[in-house]
Amino acid sequence: MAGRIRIIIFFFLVAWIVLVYRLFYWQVGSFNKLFSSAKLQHQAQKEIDSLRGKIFTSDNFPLVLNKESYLVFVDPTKIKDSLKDYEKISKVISFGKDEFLKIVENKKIQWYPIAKEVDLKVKEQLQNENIEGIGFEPHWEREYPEASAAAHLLGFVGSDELGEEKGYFGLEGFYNRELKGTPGERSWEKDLYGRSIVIGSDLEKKPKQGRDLFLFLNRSLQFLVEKELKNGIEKYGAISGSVVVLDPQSGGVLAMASIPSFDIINFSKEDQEKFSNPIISGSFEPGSIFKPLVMATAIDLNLVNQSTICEECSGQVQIGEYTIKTWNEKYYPNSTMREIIQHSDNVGMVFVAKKIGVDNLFHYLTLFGIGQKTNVDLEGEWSPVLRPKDSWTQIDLATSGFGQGVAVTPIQMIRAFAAIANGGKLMTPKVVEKMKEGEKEIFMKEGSPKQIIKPVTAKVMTEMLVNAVENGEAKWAKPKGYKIAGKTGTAQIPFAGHYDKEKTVASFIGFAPAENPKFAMLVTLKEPKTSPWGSETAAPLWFQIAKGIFSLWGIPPG
Amino acid sequence: MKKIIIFLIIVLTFLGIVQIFLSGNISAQVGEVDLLEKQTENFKKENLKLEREIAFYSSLVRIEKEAEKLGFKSGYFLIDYSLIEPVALRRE
Repeated sequence: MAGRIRIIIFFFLVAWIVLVYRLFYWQVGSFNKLFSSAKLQHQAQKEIDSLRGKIFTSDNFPLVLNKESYLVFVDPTKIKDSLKDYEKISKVISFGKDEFLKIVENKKIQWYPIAKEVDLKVKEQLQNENIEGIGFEPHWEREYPEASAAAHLLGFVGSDELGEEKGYFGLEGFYNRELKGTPGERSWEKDLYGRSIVIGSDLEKKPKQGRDLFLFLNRSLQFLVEKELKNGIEKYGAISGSVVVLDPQSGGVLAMASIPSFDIINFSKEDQEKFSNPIISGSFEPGSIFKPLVMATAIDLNLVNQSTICEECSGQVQIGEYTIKTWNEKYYPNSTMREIIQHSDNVGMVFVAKKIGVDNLFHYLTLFGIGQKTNVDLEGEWSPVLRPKDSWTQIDLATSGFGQGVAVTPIQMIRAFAAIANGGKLMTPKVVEKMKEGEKEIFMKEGSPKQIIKPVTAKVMTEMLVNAVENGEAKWAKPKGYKIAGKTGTAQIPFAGHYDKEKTVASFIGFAPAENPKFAMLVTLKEPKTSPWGSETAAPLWFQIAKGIFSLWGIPPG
Repeated sequence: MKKIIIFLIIVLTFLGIVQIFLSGNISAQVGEVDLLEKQTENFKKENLKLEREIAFYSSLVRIEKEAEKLGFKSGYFLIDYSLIEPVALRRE
């Protein structure tokens, strides 16, 4: 008897151990796996789009907004008279009759999309038809009140490889994380057929809107720049062109435009090559607009002053096998440094570069930010490399004196030049001034300005540049009464190991008013046909835009 | 000790009553809250729509087009006065 009881006890003990083991296995060991598969069976989830942040110009005008569009879906479980409902739907949107009837007959389906990206008007028309089984899911699209203005600067919103919304290029790419916000989520309990259970849980986590961006960009100025650039390209027969305007004191980008540009609304139909911004990713040999940086270096090192005489300016200069001439083959013996800048004298600049030497020039060019990214807050910035100084030869030193053999991006060039306008302080160019999250304002971190040349050097250089505008090749186009510091540039385009004389990049760089600069601007025109010279193409365009700025901002002559 | 326990019971009872009272009130106002939430949502959407309309009508692109239709020409002129005598003068 006792033996039988022991057997039964043993049997129950084993059964209990097995049971405990299984329970442990289900509830602890396989908890995560079983919990997720159970959740999948009875829980449905849906992401709720967050509203992407808007982008405003400095006058609080929205350059980029959000427009609500709708996905129209049909719920076959709620459709009562499929033929009648189809007739009502087909009055507003087009959808295949057979397909519609096939879908609505399948009562296991609860959601089927029949139209995408319809606007509010269409939605309201469908709502007025009072169809019970029709639903709408809101989505957000980007809208551009100023059409394609500042397209390169803004970038666009597309989809990534997973179909998720993502910003590409410009601000949309750089600030994608800040702009996109945090999506919300709705989760609810569903039955076997995926229908929501009326008394089941239904939770909604609201989406968090993305941050709004407020730019330094001046809307009127951007409009003016784009218009004048378009006219300039047509007038001078250039194949492309760029204009960038900076506030020299803050480094804020006031305007930025390049042509050819792209249609931001229908960007998917555009050639992808147009998307990259030439101002931050296109390099060119700067030519004579580089001379002020080299001259500033020599003045800062006390190697020359405004009235230092050039002892080698009476004719061509021979460096090894190379002969260096002036651009117009005119020579000015005993020119002063001031006159070298005024005449844009290549031979004079060779004299200056030789005085500076490779080590010093390399050091100063690095200080000016040449060969490094400016860290402007736009996606897609690229920088040409400044060759290691050990590889520089005497001819490299000589040609870099007048801006050949070095490559820069327009943003690098204007940043370096703006340092002269800013008393020798180099700023980091910035597009966004502040961000807004609800009522909270977040100001962008100010990069500490670097004093790269002495204030007195900047002042002397400014005087030399004012003289260059007053008495140089482009004096005919200058608006009278205004003190403008600037320099023309004409760089031949390197092609297959040599320079093409016919093809040039014409440019003008400058700031105004010279004593209290409100803006620094660079204009570049690629391959102008009417004249290859910067003084006859880019300079008049620069002055034309400057006239507009003086008028717009009410800057009086003086 | 006994006093503390009694005090705690009184406090908890009071808080319980407050909670019941508040829950009751809130449940009674669910419909109202729901309505207000919907209204807020509608106002937000309307604001967005109006913001878009304002942006559209005040965009420089549109203003320029409308101005051109009315016959205005874009342009800015800088007038400067000079004391320098002209090289040649037209005789009347």
